[in-house]
This record gives sequence, structure tokens and C-alpha cells, in this order.
Amino acid sequence: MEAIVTKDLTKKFGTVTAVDGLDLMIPQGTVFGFLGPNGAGKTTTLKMLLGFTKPTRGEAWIMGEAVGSGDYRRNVGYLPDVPTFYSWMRAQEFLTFSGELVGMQGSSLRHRVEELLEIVGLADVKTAIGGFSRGMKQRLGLAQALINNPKVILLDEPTSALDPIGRKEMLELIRSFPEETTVVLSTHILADVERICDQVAILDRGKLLVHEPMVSLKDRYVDSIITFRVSEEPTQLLQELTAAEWVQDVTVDGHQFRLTAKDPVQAQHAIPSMISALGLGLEDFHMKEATLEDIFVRLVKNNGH
Amino acid sequence: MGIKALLKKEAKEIIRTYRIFVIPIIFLLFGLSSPIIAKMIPDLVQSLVEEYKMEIPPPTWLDAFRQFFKNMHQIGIIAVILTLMGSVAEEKDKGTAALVLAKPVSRSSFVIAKYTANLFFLALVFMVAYGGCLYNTMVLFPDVDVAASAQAAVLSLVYILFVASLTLFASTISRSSLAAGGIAVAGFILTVTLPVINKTLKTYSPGALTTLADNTLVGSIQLGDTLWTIGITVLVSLVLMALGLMVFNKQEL
Repeated sequence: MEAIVTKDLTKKFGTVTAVDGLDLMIPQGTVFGFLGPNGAGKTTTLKMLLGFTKPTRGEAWIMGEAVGSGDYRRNVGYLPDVPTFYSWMRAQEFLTFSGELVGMQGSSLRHRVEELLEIVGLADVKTAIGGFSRGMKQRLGLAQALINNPKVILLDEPTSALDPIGRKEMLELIRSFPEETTVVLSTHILADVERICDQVAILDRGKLLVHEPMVSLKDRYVDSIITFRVSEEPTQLLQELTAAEWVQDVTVDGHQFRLTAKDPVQAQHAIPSMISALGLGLEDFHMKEATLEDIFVRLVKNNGH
Repeated sequence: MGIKALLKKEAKEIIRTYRIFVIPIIFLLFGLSSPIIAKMIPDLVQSLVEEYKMEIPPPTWLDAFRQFFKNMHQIGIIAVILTLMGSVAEEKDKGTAALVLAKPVSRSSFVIAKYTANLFFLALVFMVAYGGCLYNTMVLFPDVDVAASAQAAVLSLVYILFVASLTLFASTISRSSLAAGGIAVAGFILTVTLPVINKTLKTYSPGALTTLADNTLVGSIQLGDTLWTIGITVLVSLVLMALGLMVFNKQEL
């Protein structure tokens, strides 16, 4: 079953199209990386899924229920990019309040609140939320999103403002969600997506550039990245590499080359030969698999950036 | 779903933030001090101009209540606008509304909880303040007409609750506290101006309640004579609330 489906989802603000005909099908149990540069339309999409903003065109469903109909939000947990709370409340009070909003009560709510406070490491914190650090607020935000074990969790840039330790903790928390939970992780931090996501969609200027499983995406954009350094003036070599059929893209910075190869094997043989033929010295030759960042940059660049 | 939780949260917010002090202190101060000031004014005025003997009529219980209602309808109203203008707008602006409304809670419940909690709190504090005023007046003045003062208090309370509703409406449709405050003040000015420019509105608009309160105090009319004005004021408040909800339901968060 699909946890989230969008059909032709479009949002226009005046003449600006923030989201343009978005078609998505996110299977249940997926950790879905929603990628895009700033202003790509990720947050607007999440807001449409939450009913915070009405689509100009198109529809969306969460766990089979149309967005905007009935109480479809009982299946949804949401963590905004900068969660803000009632500063006078304590963490335990806010979680209790969140639970009551979704109809929980009594001992089951008390136990769930205690469990979540333990999970997010706030069990011993008794001060009011107003005195919390950014990381503590982010963890509390995650806890409130999980209060009723929702089937779908929408996380908007959950790690972007955290320090490396906070980021690691947050990703571990997300990874510890039950298997059947569908997580949509909107972010521009590609390393986070690579670490925890099964599927990825890349959005740019409101348009969906790619949506597929992480593994097949890497297979499809398997071009290897080759970096090497030559000892002398590289102009002639750059011209020859630019003309070569097996080269996808090549850039040079001083004597340092960065090349994306259509045929990595051929590149591995041809580059040393070309350098040798031009009488140059070869220093540092490295090959690496294309990372999500390479794929992202390439796709976004091809989209006119 | 969630209205009970929202009401509980609103009540806690009133108790645990500055709001528990501001309105009660101001209202109670006016309630307790108005009779004392009314009693002391002739002596105070005489002491300012010692060389002339002034013919100042002795103060009565009417002066005490007039002082109280006048203060409530001016500074009390300003305090109400200042404390309520951020109720909804600030939550939208800061993002707490988004966190709440991501849960299966309707926007109407969110706003209605604010109306209920705040109007109830204001009514309660007003009644206590009126009680304080009545007690001190009875101590300081003879022959207090309790029934007349109670009738005037009802009209004054309706007026204050109307301004509170107007402020909550402004807060519901605005995106910032400041804008809400501006709209509420403009609405308040309109409320007090309309009875001056139109004969019908002089009797039947919400702004007429202050004059009607004074008339009931002196006994020229009874509370029963003001039911139309009270009804119209309640109706205008409800229409404003419904209008605010309509706008809020269409707003983007």
C-alpha cells in the first residue's frame, strides 16, 4: 500500500510556481529522502500534505485518505524545520498536551510520554521549554510527532540546525522508528539522505527531477568520478579530454582535474596514456563512485542552474 | 477533537504567564480604589486651592461607580486589547499554531478555545473587581443602590467582552500581534464613534453600552430596556467570530 500519493500537485504564489505538477507514490515503510536546493518547493509540498496551504491544482492522499478530508492527520506526525513551543510549558506537559490533541488519555498517554521522553533524552529535564537549546527543542519536536505512533512522519529539515553530535543522534532516532512507519525527510543535507533513506526524490524549482530507490539511482548514475593531478601546464590535456567521447564532464583547477566518465574503464586506461603522450607527469590518480551529492549537482545543473 | 485539551492549555497559559497578573491587577486596582478616590476628591481639590473656599457637592456612591466604569472603559479596555491582541496572531507568527494544527484539531476548535478561556477569565476578574468596588462603596457611602450598580455592571461587562471579542477577531485574521492591535484599536474607535454620528446607533450599537450603563446607574432606565442593545452586541460579536474563523480557515500557515 502507498502511504503517500500525490497527483499533479501544484502550488502557485502569484506568478511563481512553487510546486509544479508533482506526482509521487511513496510506499508504506519507506524512509523517503525529499531533496532539493533552498526554494525548491519541499516545505510547500509538506505544507500541502498537512493542509496548511491549499494546492492550486491536484490532489494528495495519506494512507488512502484524501488530504483535507476528515481526520486524516491522525495518521501523520510532523516536525517543522524550526519547532516552536509554548515556552512556559515543560517537555512532559507539551507531550501530554500533544497526546490529548490526538485523543489519548489516562495511563496509556502517561506511559507513552514517559517512553518518548526517555527515547529523546529529555526524561530528566524539568525546566520550562523556554530554556531549551536548539537540539533539545528538535528532539522534543520529534517526540511530539511520534506521540500516537503515526503511520506517516513528515520531517522538515530535521538536522539542518544541529551540531554534528545532535545530527547523529537525530538520524539514529529516525532510524529507530518502527519498520512500518513511512518517513518523509525533507532536507538539503545529502549525507543524511545517503545514510538513512531507501528512496529519494529530487525537486528543483518545483519540478520533480527524479524519484526512485536509492540503489537504482546510484546504479543509473554510476559514472565514476576521477580526480588526478598533472605536473605541468594542462591546457592541451584539457582540450583533448573535453573532446573525448568517454568523458561526461571535466573541470580543472590549477593542475588538478575532476572528470566524470561515461566509461570508467576506458577512462582508467586512456588518461595515463594521454598524459604520457603530452610529456606531462601524473600525480595522484583517484577513482570514486558517484555520491548522491554528485548526482544531485548534476541533475540540478542539467535543470538550468 | 481536542477542544478539551485546547481549553485546558488556554487556562494553564493564563495562569502561568503574565496574563494572570496584568488584567486582575488593573481591574482590581480600579475596583478597590475608585470608591476611595471618589470619597477623597473633594478634599483633594480643596487642598489644591487652599486660599479659596470651594463649594464642592459631597461625593455619593454614584461617583464611586462612575469612576470605576470610566476607568474600566478606558484603561481597562486598553489592557484587554494589549493582552489579547497576540492570542492567535502570535501563535501563527511564531509557529506554535502549526505544531498544534498538524494534529487532528480543527482551526475552529483552536480559536473557540481561545474565545472561551479568555472571555471567561475576563468575566470572572471583572466580577471580582465589581465586588471589590461594591464592598468599598458600601463601606464609604450610605444608601448604595446595589441593584442599579449591578445592572450597570452587567452592561459594562458586555461592553468589555465585546471589545475582547473584537480583539480576538483581529488576532484571528492577522499574521502579527501588532497588526491585530491596530485592527482592534481601529475597531474600538469605530465602536465609540458610531453612537455619536447616528441617532439609532446611539441606542442600539455596542458603543452605546457605556452610556446605557450610566443611565441604569442613575436609574433613568432599567436593564430590561437595554436587551436589544445587549442582543445586538452579542450578535455582532458572534458574527465577528464567524467571520474570523472563515478567514482563518482559508489562511495559509
